[in-house]
Amino acid sequence: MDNQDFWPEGLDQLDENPPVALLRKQAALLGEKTGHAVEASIETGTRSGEFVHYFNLIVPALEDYRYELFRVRHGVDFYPLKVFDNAGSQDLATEEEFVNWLKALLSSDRTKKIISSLVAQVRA
Amino acid sequence: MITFLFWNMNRKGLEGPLGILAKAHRIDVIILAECPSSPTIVLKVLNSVSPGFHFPWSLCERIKVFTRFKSRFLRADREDERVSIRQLRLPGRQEILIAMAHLPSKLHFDDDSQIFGCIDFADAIREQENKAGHTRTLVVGDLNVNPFETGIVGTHGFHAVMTKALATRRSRIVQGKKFDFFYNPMWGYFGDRFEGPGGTCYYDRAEHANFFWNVFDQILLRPDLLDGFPQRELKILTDIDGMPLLNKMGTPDPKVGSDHLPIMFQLNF
Repeated sequence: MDNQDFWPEGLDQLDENPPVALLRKQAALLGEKTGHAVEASIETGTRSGEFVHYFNLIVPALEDYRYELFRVRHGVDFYPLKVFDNAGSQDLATEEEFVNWLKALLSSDRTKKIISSLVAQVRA
Repeated sequence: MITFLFWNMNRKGLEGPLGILAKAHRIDVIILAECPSSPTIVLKVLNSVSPGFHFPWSLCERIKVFTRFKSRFLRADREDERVSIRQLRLPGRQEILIAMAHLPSKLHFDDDSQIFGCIDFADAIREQENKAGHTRTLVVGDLNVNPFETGIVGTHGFHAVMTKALATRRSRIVQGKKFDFFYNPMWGYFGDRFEGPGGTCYYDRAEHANFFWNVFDQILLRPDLLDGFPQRELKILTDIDGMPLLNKMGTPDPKVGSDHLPIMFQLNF
């Protein structure tokens, strides 16, 4: 009776990539692209039992000015998840849809304009 | 005394009337929502009638701020598309935080989403207060909810109360956690308490329950700012230098101005 262990094997193994891992990967790339004038950081919180990841642009030279570019919300199951950006919110059902959305947003003219504006402020 | 004006312009080019307001009332800080014109155009008009305005740098798309103070005195700390939290640091005065927002409307967000929107904004304010090391905070904007709605009164939202006496208690404990108060002076502007409009914006919907007058445009103050807030100077403006902003029905006239009335107030700190 003392050695009974009812937990399954492989609890620490994931079959799919958590959305936050992709966000962190993209966030880590931004600093180098801007000469570290603008960095990106992910903050994670919880809201009504769901995880919320905030994708923020941080400008250390402007006393850590912070601009929230978008946020992502999901439950214990990663998908479907909900994304919130300047266009509103939308549900994304799969990792593929999320990757496509993220790629479009990060490479958009609006995002470029925002980051360029921040870089210009630093250099002014 | 610093004079503030907030106006949701309903995407109308109202720079001319704005300039008249700025001059007539010697406004120091103008905060605009739904201003369709570029800051350059607004500045040109403002400075042609009331010289001395600046447009401090900001990335917030939904809120535009113009001020008589040099831009470096009003620094943006934390923003997104709809929210701008800034430090106002004037020589010889204590620093305050000004948290401004144009939150999503009931057309685009249901009640639950609006509550979460208020909670997110309130959380951001609390984080900035922790970073600043003080709670001299003013909240201004079109929050798109009324003062009695959950996002405004709830502990995780703004926890904003209707009287100064309540707010000066500073906080209360709920379920073992401490929640700080805001004071919401806008409660007093509903209905017929004062002569004039029954709120800041008017919507007549064919629904069973309709308030008609709403007070979506609000200011909230932390207790630390209450000593410098003259309640009598908080006004919902109904005319601009004699030009009425209301129609014959006594509701905002969209032909003349916006569907929101401007609010003006003063603060000493």
